[in-house]
Amino acid sequence: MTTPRSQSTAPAPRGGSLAWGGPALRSMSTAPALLEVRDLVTEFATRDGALHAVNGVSFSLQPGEVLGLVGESGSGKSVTGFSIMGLVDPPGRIVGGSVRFEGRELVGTDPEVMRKLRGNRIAMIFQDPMMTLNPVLRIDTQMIETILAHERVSEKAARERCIEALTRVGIASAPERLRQYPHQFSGGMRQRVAIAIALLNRPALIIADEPTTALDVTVQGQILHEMQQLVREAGTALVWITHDLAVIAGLADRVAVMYAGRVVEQGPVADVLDAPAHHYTRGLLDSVPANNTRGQPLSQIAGMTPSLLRLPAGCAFRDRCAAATALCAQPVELRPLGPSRQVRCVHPLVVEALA
Amino acid sequence: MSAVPQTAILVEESPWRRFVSQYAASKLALFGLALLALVLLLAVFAPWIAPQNPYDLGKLDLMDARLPPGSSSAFGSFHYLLGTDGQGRDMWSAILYGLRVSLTVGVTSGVIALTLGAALGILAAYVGGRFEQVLMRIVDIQLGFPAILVALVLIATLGKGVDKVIIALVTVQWAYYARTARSAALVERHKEYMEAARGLGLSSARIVLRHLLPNTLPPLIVVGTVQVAHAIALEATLSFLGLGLPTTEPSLGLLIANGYEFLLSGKYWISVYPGIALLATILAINLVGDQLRDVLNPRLAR
Amino acid sequence: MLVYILRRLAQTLLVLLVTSVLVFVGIFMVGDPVEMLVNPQADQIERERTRVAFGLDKPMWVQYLLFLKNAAAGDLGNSFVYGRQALDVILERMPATLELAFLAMLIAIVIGIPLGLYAGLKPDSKVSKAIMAVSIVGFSLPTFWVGLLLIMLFAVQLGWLPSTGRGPTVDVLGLHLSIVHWDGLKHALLPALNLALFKLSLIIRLTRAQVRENVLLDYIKFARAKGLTRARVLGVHLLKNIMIPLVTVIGLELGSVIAFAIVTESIFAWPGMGKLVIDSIFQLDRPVVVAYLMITVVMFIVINLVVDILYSVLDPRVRLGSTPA
Repeated sequence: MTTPRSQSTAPAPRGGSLAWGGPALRSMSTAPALLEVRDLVTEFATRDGALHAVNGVSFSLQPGEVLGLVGESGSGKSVTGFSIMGLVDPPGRIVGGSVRFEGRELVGTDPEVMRKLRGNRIAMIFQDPMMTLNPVLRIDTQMIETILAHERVSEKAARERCIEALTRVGIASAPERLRQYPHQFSGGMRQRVAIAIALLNRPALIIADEPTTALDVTVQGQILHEMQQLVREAGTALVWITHDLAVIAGLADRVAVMYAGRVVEQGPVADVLDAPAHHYTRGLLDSVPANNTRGQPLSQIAGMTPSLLRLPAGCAFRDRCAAATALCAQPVELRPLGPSRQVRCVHPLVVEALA
Repeated sequence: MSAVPQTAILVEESPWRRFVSQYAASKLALFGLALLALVLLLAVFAPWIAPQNPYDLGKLDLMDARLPPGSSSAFGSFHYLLGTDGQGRDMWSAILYGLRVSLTVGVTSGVIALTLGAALGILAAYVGGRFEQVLMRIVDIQLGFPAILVALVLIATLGKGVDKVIIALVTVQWAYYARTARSAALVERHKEYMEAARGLGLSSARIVLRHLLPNTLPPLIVVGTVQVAHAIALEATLSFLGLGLPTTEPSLGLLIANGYEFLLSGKYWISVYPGIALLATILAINLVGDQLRDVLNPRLAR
Repeated sequence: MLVYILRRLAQTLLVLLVTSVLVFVGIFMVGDPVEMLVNPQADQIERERTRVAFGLDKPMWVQYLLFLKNAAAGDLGNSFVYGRQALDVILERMPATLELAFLAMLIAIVIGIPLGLYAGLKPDSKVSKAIMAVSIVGFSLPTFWVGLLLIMLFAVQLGWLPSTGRGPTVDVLGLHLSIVHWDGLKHALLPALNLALFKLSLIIRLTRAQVRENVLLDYIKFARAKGLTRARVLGVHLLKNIMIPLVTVIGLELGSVIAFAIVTESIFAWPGMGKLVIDSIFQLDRPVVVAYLMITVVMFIVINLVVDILYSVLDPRVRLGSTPA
């Protein structure tokens, strides 16, 4: 399988060209992947130089699978989501790698082709429901236009679908609500509307960028539960981007942990959370307050996220890792760990023996 | 959601240097700054640069009236760079002095209006309550009326004279400063560090001066540049109409007015050159102000 | 919504009252009132007669009430110069000013908004930079000076357009308008252009700023994420949002244009209210000045009110208030 690359004059992406660990991935499933991201590099041109927000990210997704993309702010997880959608705005652009959706290459493809996919086969849910919906347009306008942008149906039929979609996400009195404006909905309701919009055209893939972060904890739980049901019913694949490991635990089938623009660990949720292989993942798990004992100081990961403009050579986590050695100064690739996991570490916490 | 992932960038650079480099990113803005510097220098050093004192009636020779640019005086010795006006005044000197007057009046009124308006605005934000409501109502009402009308009425009522013009200009401008200062102060007032300062028991005066004020300055500076440009233009307009500065302190507007009658007979220089000087001044201030606004605007952070 | 309008009307009345006091104090109290009301050439007997007739021997507040009473009846005094009701003189000239203002705003909007949109959507293109450079020059040019240049260029040098005066009028719905036919339009073009230049630059800059700010916001990105065509994202989502501040500013600028017509009318000898008031100031025809002020104040207040209502109509957040459920 060749790795198509888009043209770029940028320096070769860091992380090595074998970063995606070919054979191990292929052995994971026999069905063709719905989404395959390989060595994706997205660069932002800043006054101080080129910043690689996404620095050689690879993962794949099966139909109906839920992948959790976990990382802190600045890890590149949101930009990855936007890159898949083709919504990276200048001064950013995709400079390397490939994104294959349903067998078709997305990077560098015709903008009209991308437009037809967006909201139709691939949908996205954003973080802040306050800012996502257009405040001066009615809800029905914003929903019906999504249908009409991709299908030729009568307005009446489209409206029926909208009512049905709103009801499905738990909004009562849908016909009246349709005629209202976004500011007349609460935060949780608005996000439900956004989810309904995402599901309108029955997409194969939904990318959800921290959709519950801006909501109350109680509402969070509800939305999570509902999303889970909805995607299971519809067989939609989901990429759930978040910084909250707890959310992933209940929701995802697999998880990919990102740090400084790269995937540092990947695998089935239960395996990764029970026995993390990468030190960063371990650190994340340890710093969850619930995982700490009362009376003891909260455990933290020492140091700070490095500036993406001045990444240390080799492992980006090197300066904060207790187990770092001289070997870590060399570029580290993503290596298979057993049949279904990968880790980017030369001294992983979990060794091959588990396989 | 900003275009560039901000949190990962930790660039160590002093805020001043960052500001300077951001400002200098626009060639147009640099040009504006250079032009402004030139205008200011010419105005400040006018008495030393101008070859003739245009106020000294004794030096004027009616024989030299209405000469085109580049000509020499009737008695040979004097070279009129930009020609002469209807009374034999050297245009170049008249423009230099006129620049001086226009800038003085514009900047003075701007500074007074800024001080007055900002003080009221910040006070309103800090004190709140009835005072704030009433003040903002007055501001809104005043801003609903065009500046030229307010100025006109004031001049018609108070009469002519430099001080009256400055009063009119201040009256027209203070409301903008007050509104800007209050908005900025309100934003700051609700920020956490203000509560922290209060919690630490700092005196009100200290809070206002050391914390509130520095953070309200950027938007005030931006408004200030636009307002000064407007003040200068307004004063010129009033002088042109004959309602502004008296003829003893000829501003550029008056010079332009003087040349109006000669326009149709082809003696364009009497009106055109002072106009160019006026345009250059206002343009320079606007160019600088524009870039300042872009640089200081948090919502356009790239 | 009704409550809102009523409240604004009440405020309007208050503003009118306050303004009337200010005008009264300003015009009639400063200096000797008799001098204001009487022809400067009148003799002592005439002055005494005027003093009594206008009740100037009565206390100030009585005078003010008289003033109000007369004003409410539409009597703001007689113009010395024209020998008629000052208010009538002003109202006669109003259509001329209004048609000039209207034409100027039309030019500014029709040219300004598309240019501003372009400059905002493609901020780095050469055309955009040229537009912005021209707009900042247009913004900095003193209106009266441009008027002079326009006359010099188009009337004197090129002889394409007349330099002064208004074209012949045609009766349209009871109003005497001149711009409805070509000859009138020819006369109105230069002054309207002069008036429009500043507003044009303002609208270009405002539109561009609004576009640049909004294009970065989430709702635009979300609209694109839904797979909407670019035309719809810009033409519906973006436009509806920037229309709100744009309409409010344009509305307010209309008042400013009417006021600024004073300058343009003086230069182009356009027989509108503006020229009248300047002439009146110099001729010491105070009743006319007072009439002008009262009329324009009423106009601005009405414009402000309309703009406020328009704003609440356009922005559903204001119109409906938030009732989150």
